[in-house]
Amino acid sequence: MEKLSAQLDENKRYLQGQFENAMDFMMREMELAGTEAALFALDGLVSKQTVTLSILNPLMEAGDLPGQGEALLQAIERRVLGSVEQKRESRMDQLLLLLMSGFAVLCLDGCGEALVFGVQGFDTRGPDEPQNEVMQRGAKDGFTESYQNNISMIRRRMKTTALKFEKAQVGGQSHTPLALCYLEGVASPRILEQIRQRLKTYDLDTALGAGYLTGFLERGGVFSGVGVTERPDVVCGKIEEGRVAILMEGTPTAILVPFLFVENFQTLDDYLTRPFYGTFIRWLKYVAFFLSVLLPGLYVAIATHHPEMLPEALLLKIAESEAQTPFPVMAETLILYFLYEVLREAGLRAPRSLSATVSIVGGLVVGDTAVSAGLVSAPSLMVVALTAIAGYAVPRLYEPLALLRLAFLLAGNFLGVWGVTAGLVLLVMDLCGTDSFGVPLLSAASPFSRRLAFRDVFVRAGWQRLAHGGVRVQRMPGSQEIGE
Amino acid sequence: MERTNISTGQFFTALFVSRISAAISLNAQYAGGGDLLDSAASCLLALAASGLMALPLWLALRLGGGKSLPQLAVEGGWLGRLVPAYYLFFLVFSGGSALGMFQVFLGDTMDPDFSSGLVSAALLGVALYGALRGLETVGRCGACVFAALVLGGGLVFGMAAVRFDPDNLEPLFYHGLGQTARSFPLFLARTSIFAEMAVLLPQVKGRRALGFGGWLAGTGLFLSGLLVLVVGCLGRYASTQNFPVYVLASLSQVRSLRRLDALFTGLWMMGLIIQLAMGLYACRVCFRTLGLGKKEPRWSLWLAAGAMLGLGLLTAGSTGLQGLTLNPNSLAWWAAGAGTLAPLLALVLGLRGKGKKPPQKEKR
Repeated sequence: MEKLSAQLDENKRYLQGQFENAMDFMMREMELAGTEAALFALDGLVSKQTVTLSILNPLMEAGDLPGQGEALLQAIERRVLGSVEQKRESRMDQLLLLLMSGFAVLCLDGCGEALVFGVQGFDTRGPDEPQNEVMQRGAKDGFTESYQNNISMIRRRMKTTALKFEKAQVGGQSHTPLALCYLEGVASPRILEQIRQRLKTYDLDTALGAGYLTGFLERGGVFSGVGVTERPDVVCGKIEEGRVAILMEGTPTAILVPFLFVENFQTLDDYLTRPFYGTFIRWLKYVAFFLSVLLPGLYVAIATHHPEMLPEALLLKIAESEAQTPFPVMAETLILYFLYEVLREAGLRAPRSLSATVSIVGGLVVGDTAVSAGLVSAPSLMVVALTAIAGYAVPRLYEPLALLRLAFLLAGNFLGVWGVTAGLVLLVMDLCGTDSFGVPLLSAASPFSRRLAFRDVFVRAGWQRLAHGGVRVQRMPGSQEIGE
Repeated sequence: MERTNISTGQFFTALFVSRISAAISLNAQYAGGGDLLDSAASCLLALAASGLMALPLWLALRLGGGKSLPQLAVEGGWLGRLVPAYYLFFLVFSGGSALGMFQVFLGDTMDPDFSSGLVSAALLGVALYGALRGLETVGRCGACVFAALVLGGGLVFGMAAVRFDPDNLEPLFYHGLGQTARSFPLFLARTSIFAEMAVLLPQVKGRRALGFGGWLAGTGLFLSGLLVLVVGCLGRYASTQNFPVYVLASLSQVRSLRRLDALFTGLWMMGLIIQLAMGLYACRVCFRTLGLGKKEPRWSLWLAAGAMLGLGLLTAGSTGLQGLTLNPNSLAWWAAGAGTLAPLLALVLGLRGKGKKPPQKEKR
């Protein structure tokens, strides 16, 4: 059934058939000026109070309503009901979608159109402080699962008519609504079109989180060209530079594209502190990144193949520790690394009441006992612990870092420092060859632009400099719109 | 994603990095075995000669109207296929030779407890990945490696400079011009820039002549400066070592920070990867010009990489072959062929192919 029928009985039968065995389906039949009518809604999605006060009561109390069919519908629409979100609809697929989105549908006998009312009444979580993007000085509100609430959070911060929220939908079964959020005249039309095209390729039935969508937006490479954030203030900062944010219903994170490699090291706090401290923090994160990627590999490579590189005192300490353990350095580091990942996963998944116990048992008991028992050496334990801590300085990169560490560990073990070097060049090669919607991932470091690199890559310049120049992500060096 | 256009800066920076990797692999035996300070003069002379040798190449590129030399030559008939075939051979040969030299160094000097062939294979694998991703990827990576070279080289050679003693520097040409003449071919030979320019320069945007001039000046300054540093720090000891620059790096020490030879080798490897990746990409373009594949065929990269690896392994394993692949005199002739003879042939054939029409001026 494509269109709504003029026969109310037929419509009722169809909808009841569609929602057979669905206990949340509600139908309220009534008579309006001698015409049969029915109101449909889904329990739990609509506010029963709003339905009663805004729809049922006015309908029941309405006095002289004209005739039937179209005239009656028009009178109800214009004189009786005054819902803010109210429209006519005749396509059955749309009516079903609206019903499942929390709308109430009023059908009249003898009329081929229905009136739909936005009376959503489901509970949503209020904006809390984002759990994964903790800021020292930034705002404390984060996105929620309702994309409409998220839209309002952005709108409250950007009071300009150039701010657009373009509606789209993904998911063959879930019909998950999403909004492309951008600043008209600032965002690149080419990038917007690319996003629309890639969203069209989304062929999954459901979209239950941002991760479902990012897979269809990015194109290969170790590092992703798609970013996510839980913070409305971050979204505002990003769209101001020409990026596009995608807000999806049911997920408290916004997707950001294009997303450059350097953005993994930028946090809002960098911009809320003084420039010299922001720059210091930025460099700290760069060092932490390299430490996290290379330290285990270099440790194994040097300890196994190039011990002459170490100062004598340190070499003796390591040799002394290693002499008391049964495993080679590589096996020891690998075991510790896997143990750490297991502990981390257990800490994340365990009920909150148990996560402290997991940490204590894992960190103190296992770690301390393993060293005391001579199963692993203290230097190896320290290297793995340092690596883990360094990784948390750039939390956005945790996923690639976890696997890269392992790759460098193996390269260092089999080919020494040369294996680590080859791996590093491979990594840089991959970074240099990847782009995000036509913008090189490594821009503005390579291709290099002195103006941009010393603005917000190698240093965090002062606001006087940041405020001028109007940086647009689509105009970064090497991007498709301007070339090298 | 495959990219095909890079800027002049990226292209010549990548070539500079490639040349530096050849420079730090300087072998005193192939450099004439005498006072390396005299070799600094031959280095400058060789670079000036390189500039002159490249004139036919520039002329051919200018008159070719934006076509690469292999393309220009192929338009002149079947004989023109000799030019891309020659460049293909030269690129594989110079890549294999550089790889062989690195493997000889690893085997003789570092003596790792794993197969040095495995390291070469890993290097070539990374270079192959870069070439598969495209020229822009290699160019951009070259710029990053350049930054690493500046920082790492600055650290290693800066620490070594503490040992610099002016008394070690003998007057230039004190023992005659023999050493200068002997090491001249070495500095002329250890580069594949002619072939890479001939094949890839049409894909480069910007002021290319300026880039080449910068490359010549930068390479000259770096190489001669390095030689002065090596001689100033090591004295006569430098000419008795197979790899004097490595020896200099391995002697670098500041308090507990010492034995930076692994870092030095890492820097060499980085440059070598860029050199191999550029060479591989150029091979791919040559294959296409030869008509072996509709677009730039990917399989050609695997083939060229395999040939380079094979040549490198054979060079490392056979002293007889080393006399051919690492001999600066024979390499210099091959380089002269790539820089002068092949461009002249391409020019003549290209003009004939156009039916002796007035040549189009390059618009770039």
